[in-house]
Amino acid sequence: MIKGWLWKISGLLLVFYSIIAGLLIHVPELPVVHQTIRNLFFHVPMWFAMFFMFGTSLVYSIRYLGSMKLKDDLVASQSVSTGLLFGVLGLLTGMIWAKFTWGDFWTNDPQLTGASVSVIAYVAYLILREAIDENALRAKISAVYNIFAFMLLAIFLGILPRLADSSLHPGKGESPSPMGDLDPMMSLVFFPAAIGWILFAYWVLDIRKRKRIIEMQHQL
Amino acid sequence: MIIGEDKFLVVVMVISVIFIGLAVYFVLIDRKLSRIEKKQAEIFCQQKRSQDLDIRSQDKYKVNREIDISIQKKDQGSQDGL
Repeated sequence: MIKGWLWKISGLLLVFYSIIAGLLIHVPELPVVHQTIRNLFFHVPMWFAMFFMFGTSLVYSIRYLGSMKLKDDLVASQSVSTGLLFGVLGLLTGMIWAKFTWGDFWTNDPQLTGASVSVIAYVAYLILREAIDENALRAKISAVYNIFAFMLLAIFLGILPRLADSSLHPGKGESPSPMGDLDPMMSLVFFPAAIGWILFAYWVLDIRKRKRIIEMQHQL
Repeated sequence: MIIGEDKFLVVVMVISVIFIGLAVYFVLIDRKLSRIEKKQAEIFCQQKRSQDLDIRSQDKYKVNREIDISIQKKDQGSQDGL
């Protein structure tokens, strides 16, 4: 019982700590970003949580192709839904940040374009699932599609923005990476925030998965 | 360490209250799901037990029936012999 709740409560406490500390600690005075640098504690962990969820989905899709157990497919699909939730939150926090630093909600940046393409690829995954009625066929086709969707995510968010000549995002193109010289005080908030949001995302996935299993058993 | 503007504190307090509300909501949902899972597990156990009992009683019925038939055959055989 305690073991089951330990990681959930840890996740909640870490997120709570990151919210309080993220808004109250002293941050270095940086040009252009100024106080908006605090959004680093919210925007980036959202993407980490999204990556973690899509990664979980990939693992369960591969597992499904090996085992053909519908429970694996269920976890894969619920992971995508949860990952999309955090992806949308990541996009929203990014858009607000962009408005205050770059002057516009959306710019023609390789990272932003890659993020939107990746999110659309996963929305297509959910649409594809809805289009197929037969359970086993739906699970098999969506598992194969999911592998390609993750490859798209890795290419559009991990590789292409780094190869681009210019990018407004730090660490992409010729812009310097913020992680290399992250303020020690900020790293005391940033890393707990990342772990906390990942644990929180996993909890959301756990609840969604259990709810769906109960519904399926009730239908039987 | 703390920024002197009251605005920040107000924002922190509002976000904290929203987040605590969300956390309580999640804990309640989790506990509710656990209760339903426990109930479902009990129902499945009961169903399985009753199915096992049905199978056992059917088996007993079959065995008794076979015994009855064999006794009847024996009786018939002894009557024919007489």
